[in-house]
Amino acid sequence: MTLAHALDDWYCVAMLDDLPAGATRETRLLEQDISISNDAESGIVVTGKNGKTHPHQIAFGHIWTSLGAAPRPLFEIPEGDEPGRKLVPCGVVRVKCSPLRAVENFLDVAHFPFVHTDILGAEPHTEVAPYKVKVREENDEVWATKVKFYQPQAAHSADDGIVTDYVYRVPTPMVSVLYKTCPPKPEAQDVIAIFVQPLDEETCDVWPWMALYDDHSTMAQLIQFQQEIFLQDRSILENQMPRKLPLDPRMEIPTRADLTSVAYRQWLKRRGATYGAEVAPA
Amino acid sequence: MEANHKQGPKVPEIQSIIVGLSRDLPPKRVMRSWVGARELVVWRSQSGGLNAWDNRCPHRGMRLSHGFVRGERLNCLYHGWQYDSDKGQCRHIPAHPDLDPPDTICAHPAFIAESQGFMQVSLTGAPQMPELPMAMQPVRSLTIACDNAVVISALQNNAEAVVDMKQDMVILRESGRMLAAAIQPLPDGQTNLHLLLESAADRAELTGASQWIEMVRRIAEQSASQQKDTGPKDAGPKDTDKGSRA
Amino acid sequence: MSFTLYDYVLSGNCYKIRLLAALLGVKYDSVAVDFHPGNEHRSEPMLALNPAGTLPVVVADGMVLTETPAMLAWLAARFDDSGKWWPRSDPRAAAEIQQWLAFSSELSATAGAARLHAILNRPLDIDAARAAAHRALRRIELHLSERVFDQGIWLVGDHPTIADIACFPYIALSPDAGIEHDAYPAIRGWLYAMRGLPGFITMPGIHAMHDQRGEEDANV
Repeated sequence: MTLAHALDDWYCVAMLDDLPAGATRETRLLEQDISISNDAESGIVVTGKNGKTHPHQIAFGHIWTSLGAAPRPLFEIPEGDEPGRKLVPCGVVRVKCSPLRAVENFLDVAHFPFVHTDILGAEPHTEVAPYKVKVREENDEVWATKVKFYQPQAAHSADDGIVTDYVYRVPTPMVSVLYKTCPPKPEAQDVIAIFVQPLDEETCDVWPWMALYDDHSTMAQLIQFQQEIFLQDRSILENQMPRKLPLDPRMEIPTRADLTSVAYRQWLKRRGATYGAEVAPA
Repeated sequence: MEANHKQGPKVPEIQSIIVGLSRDLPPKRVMRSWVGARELVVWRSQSGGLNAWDNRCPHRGMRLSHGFVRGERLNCLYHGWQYDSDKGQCRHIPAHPDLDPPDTICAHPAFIAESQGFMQVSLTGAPQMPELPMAMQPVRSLTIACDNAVVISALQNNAEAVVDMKQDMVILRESGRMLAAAIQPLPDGQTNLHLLLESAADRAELTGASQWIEMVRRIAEQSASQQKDTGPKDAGPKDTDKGSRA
Repeated sequence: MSFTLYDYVLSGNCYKIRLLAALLGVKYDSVAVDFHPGNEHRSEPMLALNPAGTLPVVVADGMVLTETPAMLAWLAARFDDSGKWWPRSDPRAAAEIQQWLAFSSELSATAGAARLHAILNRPLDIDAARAAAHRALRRIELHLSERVFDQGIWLVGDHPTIADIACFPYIALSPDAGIEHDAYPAIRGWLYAMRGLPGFITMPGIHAMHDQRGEEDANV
């Protein structure tokens, strides 16, 4: 049941730049071995078990596929098409955790002073002011707005500490997008997303991607800024127990700062998106 | 590492066990250990108070053994939630500095005591610590990649004399000196050994005891791997993704 | 500038140079090389600089260094007036440090390789690498527990040296690959002492020493 629901989504499985003509990437999606090849004649082909081919599409510099019969439409990030933005695929990182834990961590700001010390947060600026969360009915997405946090270095482009405005969006269970104050261009927002590929319920490949305004940093600097932050999270993610995300509210205790995570867990439950979740109490 | 009951050997219902040497946990230090299959964070406050709790922050399940100590509190690494020594009550949540956390937010303490150089944890009540025959000094703790029966056998076969055996402790004589070896079976089938040496022994004899226990470990692991009829590659600590722990 | 470091933020070897420079208070120029996903360390310009295609690379006054132990030795000789980090005039200490510098390559090849496999899915016989990493950890644990008998903490002598810097990162980061430290109490004590050094800097996978910070506002 839980796997059946998960099949009908699109998942990021490769980076376009990593797959020149003639190349093949072998990987695993929802417990199935798949390969993605860039064939000289037929172009990109995704092959699953027993040689079955699966549809693919290219979005945000990555290759997406679905193993399901009737996949829900892929979301959009229109900011990615705005001129002047640097589009930065940051490279895949493997984590031994539930794909849902990876998304939930991305939605959280309260950990910034402790996990991303002196970058995204610092003591004593630990308070999380009230913010707003709602599920947008028109496309059934979770959105958190009016999130504010003091950041010593909000982006590679930042010269000083600033109070950053954050907007979080969950368009599908294993993707999260954040929109944050862009230090050199405060009227615009930098966009940072993670696309989570579930190998199984307790292992995922995380594909981060960004669309930023930054005319001074090199691509290597931008990638490494993001990688530093994500790798700091990785050592947390691999040490959360149970591995699967508990959906029973009695198992883990949220506070007001956790509104987005509470909404995310309720939304997952309502949609039946329980792949990577613990539904029954341990 | 969470105990993997599907793959690992059966874990006996251990309720109380020595988990380490007091010397290896000075104030403000944090470590992890197991009583049977139960994973615990073991830590010492700035004033010296010893604690053993379930290794899990009730907020988002983060292992408390990655946390840090400030004063009399263990702080979770993820969001900095602060838990009081002894009772494990959460006293401060950095995201809400003015909030007095409800009593329901609490770590789950087990019972811990230390005596004569050993630390012992019990899940059920005040630990009953074994009596040692004399004053002793700490040598080391080490992990042996085989089960406790093989370890005890190797200790017995390689010491001058076995003086006493009780309750997961072997008292031996080797090179004319008394040794106390506390045995702690681990959920992945390995065994921790915590070693003390009589206090009268000098510095050279301390090294001698350390070398001796290295030899005992080699012998135990070799005999275990011969029993399994596997190659030398397996005679070593196992790792987290096999449901074991190193 | 003192030197240029061709650097990758997630590399333990690059971190050795960043760490020693921070502990010595030396400022330097840094060039971020896109190791992943870009494979830039194998690009033509980088191969022209270092045919081995590895990182870090240290360049200063026309000198190009491509081996991390050599970089640590040069950095200490050049910038450490106390002579403590690399006491090369003491034959015994120098030799013992050289042993640990050689040993540090073994750590990179085992624990370091296991970490790259776990994080970036680089191909590897992971079981063999982990078993070899544990054998290496046992050797350093044995040595450090001897030091504990003398109330010593550091690998060589009574203060930290480049031996400690060389061995620290891949040991500290080994849990990234599921190689945990529970079996090694002396190593844990040494890691804690390293992280408490004045001027210590972290890298992803090695958390900031929160114990020391904010003692004033600790228990509100």
